[in-house]
Amino acid sequence: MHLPHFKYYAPRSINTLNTLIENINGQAIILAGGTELLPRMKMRLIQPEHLISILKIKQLENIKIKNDKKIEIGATVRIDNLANFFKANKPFNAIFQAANMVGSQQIRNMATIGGNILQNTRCKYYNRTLQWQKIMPPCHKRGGNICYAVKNSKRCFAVYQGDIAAPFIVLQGKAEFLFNKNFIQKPVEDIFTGNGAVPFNIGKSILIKFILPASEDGIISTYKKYRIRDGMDFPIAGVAVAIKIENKKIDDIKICLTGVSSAPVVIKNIKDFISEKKLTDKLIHEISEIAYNQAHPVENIDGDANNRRYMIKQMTFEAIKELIGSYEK
Amino acid sequence: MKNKGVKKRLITLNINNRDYHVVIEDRDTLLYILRDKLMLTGTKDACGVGECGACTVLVDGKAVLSCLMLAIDGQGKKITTIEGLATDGKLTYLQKAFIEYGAIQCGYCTSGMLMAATGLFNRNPNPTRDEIKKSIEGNICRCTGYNKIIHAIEAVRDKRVKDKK
Repeated sequence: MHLPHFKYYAPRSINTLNTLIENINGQAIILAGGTELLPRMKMRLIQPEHLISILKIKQLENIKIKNDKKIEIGATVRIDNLANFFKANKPFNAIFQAANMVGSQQIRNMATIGGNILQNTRCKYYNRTLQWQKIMPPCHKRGGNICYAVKNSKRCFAVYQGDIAAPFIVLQGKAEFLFNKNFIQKPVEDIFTGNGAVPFNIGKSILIKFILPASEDGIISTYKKYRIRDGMDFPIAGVAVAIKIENKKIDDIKICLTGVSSAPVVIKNIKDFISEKKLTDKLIHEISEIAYNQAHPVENIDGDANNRRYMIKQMTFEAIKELIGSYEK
Repeated sequence: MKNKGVKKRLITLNINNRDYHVVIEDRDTLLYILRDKLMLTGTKDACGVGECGACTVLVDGKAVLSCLMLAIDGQGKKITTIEGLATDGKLTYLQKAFIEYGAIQCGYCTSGMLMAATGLFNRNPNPTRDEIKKSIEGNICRCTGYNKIIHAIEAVRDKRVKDKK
């Protein structure tokens, strides 16, 4: 399969990247690992005039621990390097698990963290061949006004199936963008719109790096992924959980779901469950029930929607149980 | 963009320790250049979207998918294809093991499997069975059922491959 024609650029510094973007006319797209963008281009779902590879910008490919113990992860750090960095790191275990389960070894060697977080939403009625696109009238995501997944829907339900965004959100990661020579920081959860057709509200800004807070004592995290095959596949449901333990009590809990909506779903209203109480199985069940109630998958990717929703409940329970078990040891 | 006036470039790719000068278009993937320009057809073209692993090559010792890598991004890197594994007609231990353990049937996935396994040994000379499975999770084989492939890789790990011709 050939790619459509485009002009290729490979700036070597952030400054040249900035100048390039200011002077470019027409649609330009940033290329990093290419494992998600190039298949979409091959299927002619997207045909940019310009492709700007940022792999040659050395500043973007490192993980640094700053003086204040914050961790800075450059946008083009490969998923495999990210997984190795967080291996056997208890507070950031969720990131290791999620990164280690992305695609295949070849994909992890190529794909970057920036590309993984900013991957496009997917739908079995959108990620289709050119022949299919010629026959079927366009859906919301292809610029039309039909939804094949949910009849008569006025919006797009394409699913965000990134693995690593959910752990970044529960661990309170931030993303730093470059826009008009200014650097802007945003919490990772704020970069999503929730609209499947246009999943990110980052405009023309360019992702530079991610910043994770210093790992405090007592934070532990985990990630659970549900997929058809135990390798290769995107999550058809995923749960990231982080808990903070202070004075042998659970002080805070954060849960984020992926693969069930057009953006990662941050579970709300769970703080009440943990105040002043020990987390019994019954309480964990109640928390899982809340996660279940806030997940609304529809039939537009692999797997049955009801089953995916049920798995959210099951995985949330298992994740919290596993975390509590690991700190009580 | 129309096909007319597409800019071509002359680049140098280091493949199997040899420099190749090739004229490419920006859009050409490494796989296309390997197979259709340099006639290194050992690397296979199957799904084209990174799901099957048949096009796996090593770039700086790491297994990557040549169907999802632009040829232009391969400049200045050390690329190894299946043709570069055997030296002077002498097969590597992995190649011998694949023959000895019958890890080949139709052979279409084999070059990808061998490159993925070579990448694994570059990274980890003593992998567990789970690590072996994980390293070839992106390579699809419809004949062998994977067991013989895993046995062959384990045989290399355990140095059980005979050094005959």
